[in-house]
Amino acid sequence: MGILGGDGFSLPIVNSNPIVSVSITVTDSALSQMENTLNNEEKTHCLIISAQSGGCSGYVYDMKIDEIPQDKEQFQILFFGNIKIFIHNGDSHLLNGIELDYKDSLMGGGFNITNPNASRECGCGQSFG
Amino acid sequence: MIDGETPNEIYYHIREGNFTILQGDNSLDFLNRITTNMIQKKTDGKLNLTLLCGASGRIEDSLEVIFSEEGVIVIGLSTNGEKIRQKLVQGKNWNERINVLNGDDPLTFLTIYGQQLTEIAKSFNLEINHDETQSWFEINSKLIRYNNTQPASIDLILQTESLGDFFDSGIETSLKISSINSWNKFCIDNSILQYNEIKSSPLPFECGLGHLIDPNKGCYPGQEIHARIESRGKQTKFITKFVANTQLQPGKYRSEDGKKIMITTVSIIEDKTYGIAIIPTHFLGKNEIRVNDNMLTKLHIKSF
Repeated sequence: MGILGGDGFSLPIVNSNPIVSVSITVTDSALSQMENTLNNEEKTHCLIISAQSGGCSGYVYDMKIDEIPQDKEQFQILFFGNIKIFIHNGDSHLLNGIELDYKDSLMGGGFNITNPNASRECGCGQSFG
Repeated sequence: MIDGETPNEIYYHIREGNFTILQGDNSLDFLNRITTNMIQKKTDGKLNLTLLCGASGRIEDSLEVIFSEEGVIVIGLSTNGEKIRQKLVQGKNWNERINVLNGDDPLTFLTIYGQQLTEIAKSFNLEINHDETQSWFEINSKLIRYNNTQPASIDLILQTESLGDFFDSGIETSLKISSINSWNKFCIDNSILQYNEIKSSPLPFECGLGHLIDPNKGCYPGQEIHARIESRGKQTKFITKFVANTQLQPGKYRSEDGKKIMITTVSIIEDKTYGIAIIPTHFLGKNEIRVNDNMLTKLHIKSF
């Protein structure tokens, strides 16, 4: 039996991220780009925006087009026309109030997130804290 | 000699700090996203040290990582384990199957030290190998490690609820609880850092932990600051041991030329103070510092 085993031995799970009701802004250029990317798969796919630890400032953004998650109740779903944006409850306090923009530019182009919760951001634009 | 203690006794000290346990397939990747070096999965119990820093590059906790069959055990020096665990939990991605567990109360870390540890080691089924130190062994629900310190020591992590059985097993007859003064002297002599050294959130280079930064790792919180300090040589403080001929307490002092001296740990023996301090690099290469404008209070610098 290891140090973490044995009858009656258990450790409390830490899981206390606050859940807030998320509201975000998506610019017209970002919406247009998402529509192009989803390519008529809006019914089955969505954009998931999340944050995880890492980067120079503490957290990094992650965005991906994916099939609609099965455990939908864990997410807050935001509708922008036909586009659905999913934000996990665990990330809600970090991502509430963000603005999603898209710049069509060869340098510094692509999706960009402005986050009012961030007290600092990395120059690369992907990390915040 | 410390008052009331004799050289042939064996002492134990319950360490302060925090325990976090990570369970799940991605635990190591998860931890490596925020640590200052790449932690490798070592199942042989060998030493695995790293740092958790804030975006300003300052230390939030100094960690030791142990791989157990049932999870990754992360031992921190900070007495605020909740803050460290919150940081970990907030950084979990939605699709990571990881549990962050609080081990502060359920686990206890104690160190036994003294001149004659052979019998104690035998009672733990621990083979003392003087050539191979600082490897953890998991034996009978305990993690045990022998250290070639002066005097020798055994680190022990066990379930807190079994602490009573441990002391009832007869071992307590040969062990005495150490005083803080004695424990601090042991730590000073063996360059063992405690929470005292990091609680003012120094930069890693300032408290002798610069070796735990891997400049090739890539992004982690604080990496930009660490890279800048290293490339521009802007380290302004360093850690040192000292001896003073008067009694000093931990705290902030001024050198006679007005520089800040931070004494972090002390042990007072026969009116002498043995201690650890974080001092400006201005004093590098000097043998003594006069503090508080007192010609009599000199810190005699010893290498860390």
